[in-house]
Amino acid sequence: MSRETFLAAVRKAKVPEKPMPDLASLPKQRFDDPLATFQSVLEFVGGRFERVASVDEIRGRMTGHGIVLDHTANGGKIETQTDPSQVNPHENKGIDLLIFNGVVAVAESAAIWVTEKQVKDPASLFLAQHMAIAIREEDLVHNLHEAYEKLATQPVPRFGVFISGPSKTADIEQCLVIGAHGARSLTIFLVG
Amino acid sequence: MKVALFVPCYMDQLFPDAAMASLELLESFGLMVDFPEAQTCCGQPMANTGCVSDSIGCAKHYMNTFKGYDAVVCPSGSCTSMIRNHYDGLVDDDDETNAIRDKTYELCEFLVDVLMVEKLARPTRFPYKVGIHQACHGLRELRLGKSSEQNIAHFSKLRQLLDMVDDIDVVDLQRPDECCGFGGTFAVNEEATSVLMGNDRIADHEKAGADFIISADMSCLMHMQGLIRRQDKPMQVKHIAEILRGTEVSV
Amino acid sequence: MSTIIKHPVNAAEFIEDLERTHWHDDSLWFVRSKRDKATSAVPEWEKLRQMGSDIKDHMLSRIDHYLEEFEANCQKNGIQVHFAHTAEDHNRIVHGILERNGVKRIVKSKSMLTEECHLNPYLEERGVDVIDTDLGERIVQLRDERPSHIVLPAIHIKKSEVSELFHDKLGTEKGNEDPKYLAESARGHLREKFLDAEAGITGVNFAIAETGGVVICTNEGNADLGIALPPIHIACMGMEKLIPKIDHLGVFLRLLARSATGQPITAYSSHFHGPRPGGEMHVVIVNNGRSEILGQDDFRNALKCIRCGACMNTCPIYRRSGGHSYGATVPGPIGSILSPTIDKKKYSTLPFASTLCGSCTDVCPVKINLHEQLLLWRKHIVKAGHLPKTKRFAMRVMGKLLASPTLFKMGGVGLRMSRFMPRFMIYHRLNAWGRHREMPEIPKSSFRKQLAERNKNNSTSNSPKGGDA
Repeated sequence: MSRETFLAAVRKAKVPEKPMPDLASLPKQRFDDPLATFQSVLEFVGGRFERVASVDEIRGRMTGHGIVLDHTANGGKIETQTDPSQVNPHENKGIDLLIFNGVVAVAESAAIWVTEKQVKDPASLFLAQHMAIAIREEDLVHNLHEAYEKLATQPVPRFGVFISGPSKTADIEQCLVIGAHGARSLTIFLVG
Repeated sequence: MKVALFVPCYMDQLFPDAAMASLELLESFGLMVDFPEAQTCCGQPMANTGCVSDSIGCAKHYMNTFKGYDAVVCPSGSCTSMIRNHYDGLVDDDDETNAIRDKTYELCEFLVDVLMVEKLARPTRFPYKVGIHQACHGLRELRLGKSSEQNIAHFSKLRQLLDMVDDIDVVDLQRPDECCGFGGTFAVNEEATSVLMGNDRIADHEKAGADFIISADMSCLMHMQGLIRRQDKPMQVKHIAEILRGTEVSV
Repeated sequence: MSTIIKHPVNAAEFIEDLERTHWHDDSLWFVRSKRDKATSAVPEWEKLRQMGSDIKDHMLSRIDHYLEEFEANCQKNGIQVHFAHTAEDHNRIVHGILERNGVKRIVKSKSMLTEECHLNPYLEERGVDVIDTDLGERIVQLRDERPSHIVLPAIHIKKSEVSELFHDKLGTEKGNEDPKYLAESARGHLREKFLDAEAGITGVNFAIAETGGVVICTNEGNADLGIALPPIHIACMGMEKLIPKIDHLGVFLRLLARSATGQPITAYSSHFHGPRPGGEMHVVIVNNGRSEILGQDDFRNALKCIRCGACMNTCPIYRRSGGHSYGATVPGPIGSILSPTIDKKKYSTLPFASTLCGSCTDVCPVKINLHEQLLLWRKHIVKAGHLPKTKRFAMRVMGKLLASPTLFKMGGVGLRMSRFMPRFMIYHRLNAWGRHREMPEIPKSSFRKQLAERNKNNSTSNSPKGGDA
């Protein structure tokens, strides 16, 4: 059986033991003003930044869109889909604007963590033409290590993604094009 | 301090002026420098081609030649690196042999780290625009300076020394430490790429307005000089020892 | 009977178009510069590299344990795990999953592992339609070519050529070279494929043993579309993609995109810990010779590779000869180390396609000693007898001559040596040095001769007999 042959070959390769390093020993970059860093990195990766007093204002700020799917309503509570017969990711193909809550925001990379709890169907994240994500200042961490530390308090979700800016490609002669296969634009709304 | 000079085989035969400049530079700081006549070659040409067994003779001979010195100074980064970093398996692993290896220094690092030179022995002028060619072995294996890939505090032993020369104007290059393309047998095996790399280096220095390409490794300069001469370009090459010791040039 | 890939010949052909070579070189240098900008913004960058290296070192030293931990945790999450000892096993397993589900149309995101196993032709021969969805990969797929870079597959192609290709294959406007227009056309074309696909095949950037999941990083979102839309997801990975803990992602995700393209992170870093409701998720773990490398002290480090491509971007030879000149799935410095493990003779010129400048070693985010391994490979290749006999002979002669002070010292050998050294250089090819370069001038006397004269003169002038006071 391939598995047995495989593992036997690996075990045969007597590798000298190397200890697991201690992540705590690594100095980890922090910023004087993490929000300012977040904003400047967001700009660098092609995203937009706005401030609103409450999530309700987001719809008003994002004008000129077709079909909008807003997951921030109702306190952001949505049901994750577990009934297979109800799953049809293709339904999301008409979404022009997807609005949802971010869980953690990372200053060093302007990355936002989101799971099925915030958007129900991950397909919507990648089929929507435009994205708007609501975050709060208390969701902001300095670096990715801090993000994983924060997420460690929750069970590991089936699906989760760090999103940094809109989709992009530079595959045509290194010319940056925003809007490859995923979202053409990304706007982060800092709420509160 | 009992100091010996190790002159790379090709410098001995093809670039004696640069070798003499290295000697005179060391002597200018009051050192009595031995030149053990028995010396030959560090063995790098064979080792770098993968013919390691053919380099053992040279390596062992080096160890025999340079016994009993406090320092062996070599005006070549690649030869020095060969001895310090690549002699495992070619020579014995004992205290005496390791001591000789540890005390083999490239010229610039010897001046900066051992002699801790702060100024030249006598005022030396070189009122020309120069570009520094940071030869790869010296840079990335001996760490004669910060490589452009690294995120560490900037330093350059070559620059530190050249700054002691009056009226010298060190220009900034587009690619401060790209390889010149010599690479030993590479120069002939991968001729097209080697020539292109050399020409690109020369062009970088030209665009920066340099009159001279200065390096601590003669092999790189030999390669670039070959291209320069074939193309009849005015650019000149000089080993750093010649600049530091003082040299007459015509531009 | 393996045909030897002759990198020098391929490189020379590439360089014939000098302008295009400069363009290729500049494009990749630009990516290297972006990398420098990104890494210099992280004060602890060098420590981060060390940490990445140490984690991978540790993982490799206990990889059997982590493989089993990964498998067990994946299974707990409802992910089916398959072990493929060879490339053929991998292809069979993948096809088996597709066949069982009656799948005829798949989309595939970038996976060097599937390239290595030649999955596409295997599936196509069996009636499966494979669409590569990464824009660069789609471009080379339409051109019937292999990718020339592991992260930037179409880096060797100009936008005018993409324009022509898309006009021909996708019906875009003739002569419209605007990258935005071309990308938009590809977006529309590929969107249909995503919606139409019956299964999605992806690679894996990181496989987490502790939690039983995989992470896939893209800028385009193509992997995610290929996973979220069809009901079957097959993730293919080399075994070395394992990392022990989920916290380690903080290290590797910070290292990866900065090294690859100069971004702090890719647009999407997706974490999958189970199939979606109503769907199936498979992970195929591949060996294909990796356990052999694992067992070799000289080359084990190469398994730390996170496939960022930084070594290619920085390599002055890769930039000037192009990925195709290596004739291997993975080109450049890391490719020149991995490929000879597959076929020492076929890839015997690759470790010599380097000046050992060490730039690759300095950019590698996991501190693989790339240039040292290239030198070690030369030793192995010579031992295996794959160095041309003329060269071997020349080295033997030089080795004896240069080790002997007597021979060296002789004035005759001095001259012979200086003519011999260039001659050894042109030994392999007639006049290769002299074709584009002047030979070094042979000076009248060697340094040692000059020194002897100087010492003689000094002792004469200092001698009491010399008449001085």
